[in-house]
Amino acid sequence: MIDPPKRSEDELLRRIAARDVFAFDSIVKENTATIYKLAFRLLLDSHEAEDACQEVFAKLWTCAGQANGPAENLLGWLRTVCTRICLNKLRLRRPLLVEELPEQIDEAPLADELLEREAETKRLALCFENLTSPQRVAIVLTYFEELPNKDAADQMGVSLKAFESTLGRARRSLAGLLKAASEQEARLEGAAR
Amino acid sequence: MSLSDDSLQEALQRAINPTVPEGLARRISVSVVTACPDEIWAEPTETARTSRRALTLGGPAAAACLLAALFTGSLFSSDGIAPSSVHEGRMAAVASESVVDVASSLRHQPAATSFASLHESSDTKAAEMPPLMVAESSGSTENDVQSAVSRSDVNIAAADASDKDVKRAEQPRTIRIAARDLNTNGFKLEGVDEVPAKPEIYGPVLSEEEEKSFVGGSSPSARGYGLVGSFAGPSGR
Repeated sequence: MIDPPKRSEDELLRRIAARDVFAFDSIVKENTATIYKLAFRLLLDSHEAEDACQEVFAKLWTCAGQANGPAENLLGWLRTVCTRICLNKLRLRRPLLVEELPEQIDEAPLADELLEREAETKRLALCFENLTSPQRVAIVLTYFEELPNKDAADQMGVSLKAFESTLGRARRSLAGLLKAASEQEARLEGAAR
Repeated sequence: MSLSDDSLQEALQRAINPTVPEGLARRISVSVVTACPDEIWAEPTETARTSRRALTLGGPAAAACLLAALFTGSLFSSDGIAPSSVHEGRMAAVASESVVDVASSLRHQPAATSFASLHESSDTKAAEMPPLMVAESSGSTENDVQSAVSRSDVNIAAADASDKDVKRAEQPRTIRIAARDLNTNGFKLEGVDEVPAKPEIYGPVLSEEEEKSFVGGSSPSARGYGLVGSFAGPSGR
């Protein structure tokens, strides 16, 4: 049985290979949000995420119809290209050594549950930012992209064992950072009283 | 918060939930198609990036001006060889955002023909285009420059342009962009001392009202072009 959406995707890819800009535009429109979000989560920088996102589609434009272009599962191909582009960008970055979490000055009382939840979200975002690049990539591929470990390992270009090890370290680091952040906040609250 | 908790995923998604910039898909689409044609081109990715950022910063007019500045010396060179026309095709396409019609029709044409084609085009998008730009390169002949100036609303004087060229670019009807050391520095604009090449610091962009009056043919100001800000060229990052 032929799956209509798949056939439509194949048709669009064929048209892109024939330099049909309307087909290209259509695919860009449909997938930009997904790819941008993935790039942002990996890079945590909106400008870099836009660059990465554009590079992904430039790759699609230049590779469509070629051996290294997408053959099936377009979104999967776009995600893989995006992850690899972002990994390259991360490798080129200078390492940022964070000894201690930046001090957060927030004197407003966390009076209700909503504020508490907001604070928790902020704390988690901050801790996520302080993971190492490979750890962050592992978390994104697992918790945001919901990829099985094997697929995530492939996207990162590492062995399954190495990926699982990185993911385990990422979870432990996140736990450690969250604990440290909570303790620091408690200390600050105590000092403010 | 327990990491083994099923809510971790939900919490993470709530914590890292970026907003997709408005119009990003359109800018990417336009920039990629214009910057990555079939021709062999050294840095299509960089060109596409430049184009998209310029579109983000100041809209089509800024994109056209900045790209023109990046390619100063080849945009309207005296030889009119293929690279010039390819660049110009991209410029024009980005400027008009009518990427499909304009870029494909201009590709492979000599530079001078491309300018003429654009001016004579009946395409609505092309007709709404902001003023064209001309790069006065030291390689251009006097005839080229005269011809270009007579047809352009924006002049760009290259760093190695003679005093005479710069003087010509300072005519009241023009915006003067003295592009110097294009690969490493920003752009020096009239009335602006120095523009740092950091993409994070953006200047004012064209408002809808300014855009309308500009397209309508009034005298554009440097601010109107959204160029009073900074911009990183291909090697400026």
